[in-house]
Amino acid sequence: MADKDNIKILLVDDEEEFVKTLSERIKMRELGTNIAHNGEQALELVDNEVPDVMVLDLRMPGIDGMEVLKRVKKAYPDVQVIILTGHGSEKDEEEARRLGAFEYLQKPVEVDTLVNKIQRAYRQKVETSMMAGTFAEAGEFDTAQQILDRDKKKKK
Amino acid sequence: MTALTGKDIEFFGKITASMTHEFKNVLAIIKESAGLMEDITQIAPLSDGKHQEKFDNALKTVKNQLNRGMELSTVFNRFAHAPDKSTAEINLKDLAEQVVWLSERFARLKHITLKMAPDDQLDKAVSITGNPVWSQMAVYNGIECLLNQLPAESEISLASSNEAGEKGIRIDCKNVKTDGQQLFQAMEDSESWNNLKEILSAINGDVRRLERNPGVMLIFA
Repeated sequence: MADKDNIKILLVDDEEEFVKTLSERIKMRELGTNIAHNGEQALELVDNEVPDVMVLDLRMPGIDGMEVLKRVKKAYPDVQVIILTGHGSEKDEEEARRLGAFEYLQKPVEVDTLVNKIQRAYRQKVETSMMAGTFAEAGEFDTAQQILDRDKKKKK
Repeated sequence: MTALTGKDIEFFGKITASMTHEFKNVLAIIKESAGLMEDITQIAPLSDGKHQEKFDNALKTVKNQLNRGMELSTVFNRFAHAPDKSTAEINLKDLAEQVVWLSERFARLKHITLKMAPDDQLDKAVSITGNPVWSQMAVYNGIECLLNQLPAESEISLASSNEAGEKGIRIDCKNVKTDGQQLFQAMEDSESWNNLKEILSAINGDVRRLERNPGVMLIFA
């Protein structure tokens, strides 16, 4: 079982009342959360402190959830993203999974179900990071940091 | 029948789908707030047991109505998305369930019970390829035809069916106070029958009387 206190969770939703209340409920289950109310804010927070698990709405003003998912998975492939949306279609689900979403949930969701998914996502993240580290040490593929560094060089 | 072009339906679908998403957001906020209240009273119950019981009952009502609201909103959302594709694979059990949900209020106003047949009396897997909007219209009109003829306290049940090469939805009626032949004749003589026939004809479907029970079989393929 993952150590609850150590899981860094980022909740991203433009419905402020929703995300605030959801955060309270998750905290009551001994998990810490950060909150972002839009895509731009989410990307900034991710750059400042990479979360383990992100719970992400799809339809948001500005940079939408799908774009956030794409950018986060590209820069930080280990971050596990759970889509939580009230707007989703089958097409959205397919696209989100193709982009690497760990789970796709429809609002509203039982908070205990969400917490369970967050813990599973965290375990997956730990396992993936460990495997990536092992292969990277053996020179078989790049770490997330190496991908980021390479992307930065390309931009220059 | 009012002539609707593809553009009209597309417009109604788009706006309605968007609004149902907003309903879901509202319900999600209420659900989380009710959940938080529940979490808090589980940690710190109200000191007066009577108040706690009243609080719990009120919260239970809120949660029950939220579930009802969510189900309605999900069905309505699916209905609103029906015009997204002009042709799609349609599971007939899902189609029947969807229209039962949408029509249930009309039946209730006439004191008629409208429901799905038990799972062991229907075919869960039978699917057709067709137009989602017109398929729903066909089932709705089939139900409406019966609602216009049946007495109060009667019962209508829908079942997806795939028998003898006929894929369709069987609509059985109970407590109808008449025999199947008379009921079918009354339906054929009614105005809503023409609507039903017109819609079925547009999707290469048909309707026939059930052999054993009062009711009709809507044939889709």
